Amino acid sequence: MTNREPVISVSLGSTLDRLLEEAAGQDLPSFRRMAKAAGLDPSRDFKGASLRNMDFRDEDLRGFDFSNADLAGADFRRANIDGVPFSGADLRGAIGIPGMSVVLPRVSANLFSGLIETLAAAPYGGKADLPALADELHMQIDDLSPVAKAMGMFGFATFGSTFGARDIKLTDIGLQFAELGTDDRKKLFRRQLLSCVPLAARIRHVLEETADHVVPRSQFLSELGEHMSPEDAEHTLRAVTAWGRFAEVFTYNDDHGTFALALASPDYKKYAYSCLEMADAAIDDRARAAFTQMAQVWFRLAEEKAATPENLLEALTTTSPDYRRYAQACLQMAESAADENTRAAFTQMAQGWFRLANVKGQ
Amino acid sequence: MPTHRTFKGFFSYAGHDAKTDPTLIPAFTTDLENRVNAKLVNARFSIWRDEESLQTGEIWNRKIETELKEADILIVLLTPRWIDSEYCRKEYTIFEEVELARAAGEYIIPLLVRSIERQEKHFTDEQKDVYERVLTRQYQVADAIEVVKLTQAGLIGLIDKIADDIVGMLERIRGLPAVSTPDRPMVRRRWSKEFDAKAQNYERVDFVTNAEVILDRPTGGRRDVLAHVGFMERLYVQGTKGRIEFGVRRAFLSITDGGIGRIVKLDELKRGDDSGTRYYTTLQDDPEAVTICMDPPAGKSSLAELPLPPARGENLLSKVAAVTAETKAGEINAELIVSLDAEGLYLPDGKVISPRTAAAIKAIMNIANTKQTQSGNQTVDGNGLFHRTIQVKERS
Repeated sequence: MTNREPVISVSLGSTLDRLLEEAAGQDLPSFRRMAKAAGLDPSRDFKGASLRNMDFRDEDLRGFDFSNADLAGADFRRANIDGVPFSGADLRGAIGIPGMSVVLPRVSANLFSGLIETLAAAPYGGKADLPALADELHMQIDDLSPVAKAMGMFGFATFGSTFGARDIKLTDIGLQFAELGTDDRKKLFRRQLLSCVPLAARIRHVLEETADHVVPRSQFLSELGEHMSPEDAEHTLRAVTAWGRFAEVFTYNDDHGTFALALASPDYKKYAYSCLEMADAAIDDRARAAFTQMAQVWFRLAEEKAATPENLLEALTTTSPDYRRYAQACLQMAESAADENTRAAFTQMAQGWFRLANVKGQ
Repeated sequence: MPTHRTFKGFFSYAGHDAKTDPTLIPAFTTDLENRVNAKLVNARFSIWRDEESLQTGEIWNRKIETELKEADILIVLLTPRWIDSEYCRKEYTIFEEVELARAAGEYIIPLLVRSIERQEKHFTDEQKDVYERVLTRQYQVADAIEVVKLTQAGLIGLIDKIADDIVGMLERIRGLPAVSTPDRPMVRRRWSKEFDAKAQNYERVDFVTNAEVILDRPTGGRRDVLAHVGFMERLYVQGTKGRIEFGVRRAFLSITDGGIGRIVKLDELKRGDDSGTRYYTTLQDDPEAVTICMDPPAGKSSLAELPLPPARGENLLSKVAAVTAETKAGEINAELIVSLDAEGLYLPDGKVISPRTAAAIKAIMNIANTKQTQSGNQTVDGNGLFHRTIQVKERS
C-alpha cells in the first residue's frame, strides 16, 4: 500500500524566495527578520525546533521561545536573550547564555515565596520600593537584594527604568505564583528554574544523558571553577542544588556528593511495561505472577503525583509483595539486559525494592 | 588556585604557502595564539604546526596523527595548494572524526587565504568532496576575502575575529560534559554544491514512497507484525531565487495494541541490528508502544528505500514485532513518525551567502515546512515531527 497524499498546501518556494530576498546584500541578515519573512511567529514556532550548532552571535532574540528546542552547540555570545525561555532545550555545548557563568544568589525557596506573597498583597499590589519594603519587613536591604535578584532571574519580577532603579514589580508569572497552592507553585518554580537558570537545566540534562543518571558534584564544581572563583563556584552550586531539590528537578546525596535524576512518573510507566514484557517472557507461573504484580505497582505509582518512599510503601503494602524477591529478579534482569539503558533501569528498580524491603524490615 | 587547562590548536597548511607568504604563518600561529590567550581566563591556548616537515614522500607521520587527535581545534589555511596536498586533506578528514565524537559544535576554522573558485573545475572528486565539506563551516571567518590582499590593520582585525571564534569553541569544550557522548554515531551533513539530479519536486511528490504494516498468519502461537516503509532520498523546493533540498533524517514506526500488552518486541531487534541503523526505542509520549527507530546508513544523511531490511523469505517486508495469535489487524494501530531536514541550498551563479546565513535559512525552512505542510492523515507535533497513521492489514 502506498500512502500518497497531497503534501504541500502553501508554497514553500515563495517562502524560500522571501528568505533569500531578506538575506540578499547583507553580511549578517537578522535572524528575527528572516523568521518574520518566512511568516513564522518567534513566540510560538521555534518551540522544539532543531537549531543545532546555530550561530546566533549579536542577534536580538527577545520574544523568541526556544523551549524544548535542540540548541546543542549554538553560539549566543553577545545575543540579546532577555526573557527568552529555554525550558527543556538541549543546551549541550551551547555558549554565551548568561547564567552559566553567573554567580547565583543563595536564597531559599521559602523566602522566595514569602516575598512574592508580600509583594502581591496589599498595600503593595505587585510593586514596591525595595528599601521601603526592607524596612517594612525588618530586613537589611543587603539581605533583601539577593532575594529580589533571584526573583528577577526566575522571571517573577522586573526592575528598571519604568519604576526607578530601586523599584521591584511582580511579572504576570510572579502574580500567578502568588495565587497558586503549594503543589502548583512547585511546578511553576520548576518550570522557571529550568527555563531561566541554565545551570539547573544543564545539570538536569547531563543527568539525563548519563547512563546511570548519577553525576558527581565535583564535575559541575570544576566546570564552574573555569568561569569564577572557587568560592563563587561553591556558592553557586549550593544555590542551584537547593532550588533543584525543592523543585524536584534532581536529587542530591550529601553523603556521596552526587546528583541524581529524580524519578518521574514516566519512568514508572516504562518500568511497568518492562515488567509486563518480563511477565510475558517468564518461564514459570511464579515469576509471571511476580512480574505482573510488580507491573501493577508501577502503574499505580505512575498515577501518583510525586515519587516518595512513603507513597511507594503505601502502594506496596496493599499488595504484600516479597520485596527482596522482586529486587533479586530485577538484578537478574539487569545482568541479562541487552543494553545499558535497560540494565540501568533494572538496577534502579532493584535498588527501589531493596530500599522498600529495608523500610518494611524497620 | 584555579587549574589552568591548556587547549591545543592544530595548524594545517601547505609548505609551499609558507614559503610564498612567510608573514602568514606567524600571523595565524603566534599572533593568533596571543590574541586568544588575551581573551581567556584560567586557560591557555597553544597552536601546534609541523615545523619540521614531518611528512615526506609517501610516509604519513604518526606524530602528526597524534597531534591531530589531541587537538581541540583545527585551523585550516585554505589555498589551492592546501587542496592540492594529500596530507592536508588527510589532516582535515582525521580531525572531522575527532569533531564528530564530541556531543555538539564545530571546531574547524577554515581561512580562505587565496581564491580557489577558479580552480574548482580541475579538482578530483576527492578534492571536491573535501572542499565542499570545508565550505559548510559556519565559522568560516574569511568568507570570500583573500587574506593576502588585506592591509595590516585589516589583518589584525581578522586575527581578532578568528580569536573570538576560537574562544567560543573553547568555551563550548569547557562546558560540554565529559561523560556525554552521542547515543548514536552522528553524521555531519554534507552540502553538495551540485544539485542532485535524482531529487523530486516536493510540491508534487510525497516524501513517503511506501508505508504498509501487515499482520502475518499465526504460527507457533503468535503472529509477526511485518512492515515496509520507503522514502524519497531527496526532495527539492524551487523558488525563483534559489532551491532547497529536503531529506528524511530519521523515522520511527510505532505500533500499539491499545495498551492491552499483547504486543512484544523481537529478540533479534532488541540488541539493534549490526548496521546500527534500526533499533527499538521508547517514545516519551507513548511509552507503551513498540517503536522502531530508523537511522540513515553510515555516510548518508537521509533515509531512502528499504530502511527496514526485508526478513528472510520476504521480498520487502521486515519483521518488527509480534502479537498473540488471536490478535486481529483492526486491533493494532501503526504510526509513522518522520523528521525532515533541509540539507542543500542552491543559488544561481554569482549569488553568494555566508554559511551562517545558509544555516539560518535551512533552519527556518525546516520550521516553515512543518508549519505549512498539511494533509488528511498527517499531523505535525510540537517538535516538528510528521505523524502519519498507517492502516494495519491482514496478510492475504
